[in-house]
This record gives sequence, C-alpha cells and structure tokens, in this order.
Amino acid sequence: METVAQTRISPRSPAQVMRLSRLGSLHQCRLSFMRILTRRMQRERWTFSRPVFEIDDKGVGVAVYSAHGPTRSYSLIAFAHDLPPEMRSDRVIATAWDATFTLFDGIPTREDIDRLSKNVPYQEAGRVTDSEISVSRANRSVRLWEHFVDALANGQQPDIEKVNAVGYLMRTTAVYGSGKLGAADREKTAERPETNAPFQVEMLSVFLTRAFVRDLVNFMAQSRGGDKAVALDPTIARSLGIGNSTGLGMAPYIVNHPVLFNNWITVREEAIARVRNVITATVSEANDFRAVLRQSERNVALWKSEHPIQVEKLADLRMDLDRLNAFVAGEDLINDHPWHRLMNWSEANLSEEGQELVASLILEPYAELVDGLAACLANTNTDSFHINGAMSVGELKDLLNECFGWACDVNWQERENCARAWYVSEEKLEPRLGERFEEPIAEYEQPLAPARDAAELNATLADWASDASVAELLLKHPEHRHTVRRLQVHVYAPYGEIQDNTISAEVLPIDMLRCKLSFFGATHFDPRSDRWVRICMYGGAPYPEEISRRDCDRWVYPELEAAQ
Amino acid sequence: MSFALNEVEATSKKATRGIGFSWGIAEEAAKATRWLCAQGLPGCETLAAVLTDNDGKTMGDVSPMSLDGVWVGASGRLCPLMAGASLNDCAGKLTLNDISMNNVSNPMMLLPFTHAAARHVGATVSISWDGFSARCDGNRATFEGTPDAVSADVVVSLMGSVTKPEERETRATPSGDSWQLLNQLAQRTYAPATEQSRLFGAGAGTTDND
Repeated sequence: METVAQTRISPRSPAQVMRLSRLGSLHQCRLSFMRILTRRMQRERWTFSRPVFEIDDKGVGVAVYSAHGPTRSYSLIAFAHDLPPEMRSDRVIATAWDATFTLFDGIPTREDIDRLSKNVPYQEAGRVTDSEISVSRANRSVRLWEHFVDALANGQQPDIEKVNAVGYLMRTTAVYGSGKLGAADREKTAERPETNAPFQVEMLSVFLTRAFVRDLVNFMAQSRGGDKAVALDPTIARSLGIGNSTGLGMAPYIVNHPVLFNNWITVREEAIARVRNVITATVSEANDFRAVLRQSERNVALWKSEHPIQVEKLADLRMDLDRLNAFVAGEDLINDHPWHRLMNWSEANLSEEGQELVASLILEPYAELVDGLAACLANTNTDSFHINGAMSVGELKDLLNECFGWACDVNWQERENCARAWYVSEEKLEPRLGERFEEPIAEYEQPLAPARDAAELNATLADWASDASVAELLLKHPEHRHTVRRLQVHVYAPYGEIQDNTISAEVLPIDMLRCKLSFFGATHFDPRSDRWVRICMYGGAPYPEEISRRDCDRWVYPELEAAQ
Repeated sequence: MSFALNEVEATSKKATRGIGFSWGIAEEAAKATRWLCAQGLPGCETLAAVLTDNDGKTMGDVSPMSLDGVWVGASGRLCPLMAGASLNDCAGKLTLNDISMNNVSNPMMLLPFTHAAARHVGATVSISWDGFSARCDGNRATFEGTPDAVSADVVVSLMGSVTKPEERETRATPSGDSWQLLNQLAQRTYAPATEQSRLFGAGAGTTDND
C-alpha cells in the first residue's frame, strides 16, 4: 500500500550533539577509521609479507612488515629496543621507547632501512623524508609482556584474566603523520583511494604494529624457552589490541580542524538519521541488532577503568544496558520507524553513554545505508580558509548569534568561566592546560576558546553598522580575524564547533580526546586523569594473514562463544 | 635539509604570532609562506624578512589606513601580511577598479594573497611592481622578472590570462638563517615552564611502568 510521503526525520542538531559531555560519550561505529581500513583490505584482497625479521635474543633489531594493496605497497619498519624501566614514559617528553616505527611508502631498500635506523629510534630528535608517511613509538605493558614471555617460554598459554585486564602487549604513545618530523605531507596520499579517508595511514601503521608485537612476543618466548616454548594461541592473540596512551596534544586537533571535525560528526549524524528513517525493519535486521547488542554488552563488561569519572560513567552505562535490554525485549524492532522510536526512548531513559551506544549500534545492520558515507569524511574544501570580506557585518552578526549565541550570555569575566588557558610549554613544546589566575600563562594562550573569542567579537560588533563590510571590520580589528574565519566556516560546517566552554574550571579535556579516539574506532577508554587517556585499538581484529578469511568488519564486537 | 610544507606552515604561524600579530594574521602568514614554498619561491626567507621588519610594530602601524583610494600605511610603510589580508578581503572590489598600494615591504609576500583574490573573483588577477609582474588565476601562477624587491609601490588588477603553469614543489628548502630566525620567533609563543605546569599541565599518570 502506498503511504503519504512522510517528512524526513532530520539529523540531530549541532546544539544537541556538540556538547562536550556528549562528545565525551561517543562510541566507535561502522564509520570508524579502523573498520573502514579493514573492510577495504578484505574487499581489495590485500596481501602481506614480512621481508625482514632480524631481532636478537635480547629483543633488539629491526623487522619490516609490508602490506600490498591493488596498486601500492606500504611497509612498517619496526625497530625493537632494550629499554631500561626507568626510561619508560608514555609522555611526549620521553626520549627512548621499547619500539619505534615508521610507515614507508613502498618497499624499503637496505639503504632506506640503514638511513631510518639512524633517525626513527630518536623520534622527535631524528628526521625522516617524504618517503615516510608516519612515525610512531610504543612501550610495553610491563606486567603483561613479562607474563606472556614467561608463560609461553614455559610451554603455557597466558592467563586469560590477565589478558582481559590489560588488553594489549604494547601501547603507542604517539603516531605522527602529515609532515611531522619531515615525513610526507598529507597531500602526498590524500588523493589515493586507500588513504583518502582520515587517518588511514596511521591506522595501517597500528594494524601492522600489532602483528609485529605478536611476533616479537612469540620470538622472545622462543629465545628464552627453547624447545619448551609454545606459540601464542591465535584466539588469545586475536583478543589483543594495541594500546594507545594519549595526552593533551590531541585535544586541540578537533578545535584546529573545524571543517574536518564537522565532516566526521556530520557523516555520523547523517548515518543515524538515515537509519532512523527506516520505516520498517526486516526480521533479520532486527535480529542483527539484538545480536550486536549482546556482543556489545560483553565489550562493556570487559571495559575497566579506575578513574572516578569513568567508573561512574561505566556504572551508568551498565544500568543503561539493563534498561535497554528490558525495552528491546518488549519491542519487535520492526514496525513504525523502529530505530527512531528506539533513539527517542533512549534520549528519555538513558545516560549520554547509553544514548550514544544505541546511536552507534543501530547503524550495524545497515551497511548499505551507512558505509558509503565514509567517502565524505575527508576535508577536500581547500577554499574554506579564505575569508569573504564582502560579507556584511549584519550577516556576520546573524552567524555569530546562530553559532555562539549562548556564549554571548556567559559572563566571561567570572573566574570559573575562564579559569583555564591552553598554552605550549617552552620546556617540552607540548600542549598544556593551565590555571589562568595562578600561573603566568595568559599571554601565551593558544586560540582554543572559540566561544570566549566569539563573545569578544560580539562586543566589538555592537559599535558597527550592519551594512559595513567584514573587510572594513577586520582592517580595524585584526585580532578577530581567526574568529571571523571560524564563523564563515560555520555556514557550511555547522558541526565544526564544540558548543561548550573549553576554558572553564570544569572542562574535561578527556571529553575531547575520547571524541577523536572514538572516530578512530577505539574501545575501552580508560582515563588516567582529566587530561590523559588510555585506549585499545584493533582488539579482536584479524591479523594480516587472516584478512582474507575472517570477519573484517564486526571484529570490534567480541565473539560470544569465545567469551564463555 | 628539506622540510615538509606542513612544518613550514606550523613554524610560520608560531613565528608570526611571536612578533605579536594576531592569530588570524598568523594563520594567513602560515598559508602564504607555504604557498610561496610550493611555487618554488623563497617563502621562509621572505617571511623572515617581513617579521624582522615588523617586530615591535603594532598591526595598525603597518596596515592600510583606509581601503578607499591608494592604500597607505599609517607609518608610511605597509606590511605585506596586513595589506595582503585586506587584498583578500577586498577581492570583490577588483571588478570595479584596480587596487594600488604605496611602499609595501617585501612585496613577494603579496603573491599568495593575489592568488586568493583570484579564487574569490574566479578570474585572473595580475600584480606588478617595478621589475616584476605575476598573474594568478586561482589555480596557477606565472611570474616575470625577479620578485625579491625590498619594498615597492604595487598595483593589483583584474586582467590577462595565465600562460605557463609553474611546477608545484612538495618540499621546502629554507636557508639555515631564515629557518633559525622563524624558530627563534616561534619560541616566544611558548610559556616558560613552572613547577606547577610540569606537574599538572600535561596531566599524565604517575607511572607508565605498568
């Protein structure tokens, strides 16, 4: 029966989505950068090889892991080191690591490896060239690494409880791409199909790093145990991810790249809206959702954190899952816009953690509605930088009101509203967040408070006639130029601005970190403080040699049989 | 040594902020320097000269006093970053009349802004001063003469067409002196470390040996 055309259910508004507490509750989904990569590798039948593995019995040496796509190859060159414990630090200021890496564009020659061996182990103190497209490093999880080597050397498999408690054998502490340390600019790879989506270079580097780490722990156990040693059980190996330890350096990224950030959020919101508009689900789609919900519960059960904020959020999420299960049990999830109704119910009944989990999970049965949106994640608008000086001050005022009207009502003189300032320290050149009224940092403040800056522009505009031009305004007030640029970007990038105060006494930088990491596809967010978080990447994913025969999409959800 | 264009952009932005210019102008300087390097022109050297000239000046001293008539700086001299930003902002006016500027220092730094103006108006824009002229159509640029004047009176107009596209560079090779100067100026944007910032500013956990 034909029905009257219905009004399309719209994506959620920026005002609803772009709050820090919600951005800090996002979960991975079908559009996560790791899943985009693994799906592509399977679809395109990528192959993998390990042309070099020259590691001594102390675990020191070099290995090369090559990934071969349809037209190009990429190689991870891994340098393994013997690091004294007192030098092990996850902070960006560290100077030595358990392992260091670069992703080489192609297949390296012996000369390339020799050149890189004199630079990559020193990270920021070395230089690479435009043959390299990322530079990274990793440290061992000391507890788990020693347990693995010891158990395997003695012919035993590692204790699964210990594996689940940590989730990875090594954690990366920085993965640099896009021209850092002399590597190739993003422009070199942006037009290639396999690296067009954001962070595919970095995701490939971490994917290959995980294979190296598994091979290294097997090799070390073999060296220690000789004939007694056994190889790591493939199921345990698969449950291992690569950890990542991320500090404040990542937080400014989403403020400094408003168009790119907009694209990520827009794409996810569009995907959610498409699924909400499904009028009738099939039985198999409904069953698929129920299955992935059960698997997701297992993921949440394995998610551990000792940080008070996350402990509370996890307790809420577990309660949310109880409520969600009860609701879903009484629903057919088939008729009358089932996913729209589920989203509406979640907004009324669940915490933001739970709401965003539901939003991510309803995308799972709908690959054909969702996955093509991955092509819209990259920022291809090279003109977004140019200010339109012909715009009138009146139009600018309207834009400001639409984007940052709320910020003009905040009293920015109140200490608690501007208690913090983002700055870069002279000592280590790392981004930091300080106390504006307790430290001499205000004059070094980075432009990472767009809401406060918009309110200042608003005060200036009070003295300007609406028919004046932006060109005239900026001639007299060049201090507002970065804010005007952001407002003009907002016209076509409405999800590019965090709709919250990024310098208040209450701001939690981990919300910004989690938001970005969720788009990578990270799981098991474990804050170590309000500005430092550990995560897991690729836990459950196939290894390179398994790409052709295992699930390269839903690996993020634990297999229930294996979890019994 | 060769540098990624991203490194040029990041360093240029900090260096420009380092002489006290606004973040928005620093962003313009960063993109402009990157663009010059991509054309194979000495972007870092030019920015180093611009920042040396303007260190200690306020932006108002070296901006056009008015956008009507010939552009003249309050101090008698125009900084190409400030004049360039206004050229970008006034691109639409080129369809009505030429823009003339008096006594622009290091006018090579106006080229990227001419390119931006051409993109705005969707037409070819020419810029010339004594001994040099360039045409930009928003995608490509052609040059005649040597652009490295210390200062010049400049005319920007809509006209002409681009004849020979220039090769794009993917790396920059700044002179050691200019790169060192930009990094010294960039240092001014970094806050001196204090005990408190060491302890709390980055917010790392207490141990990573776990």
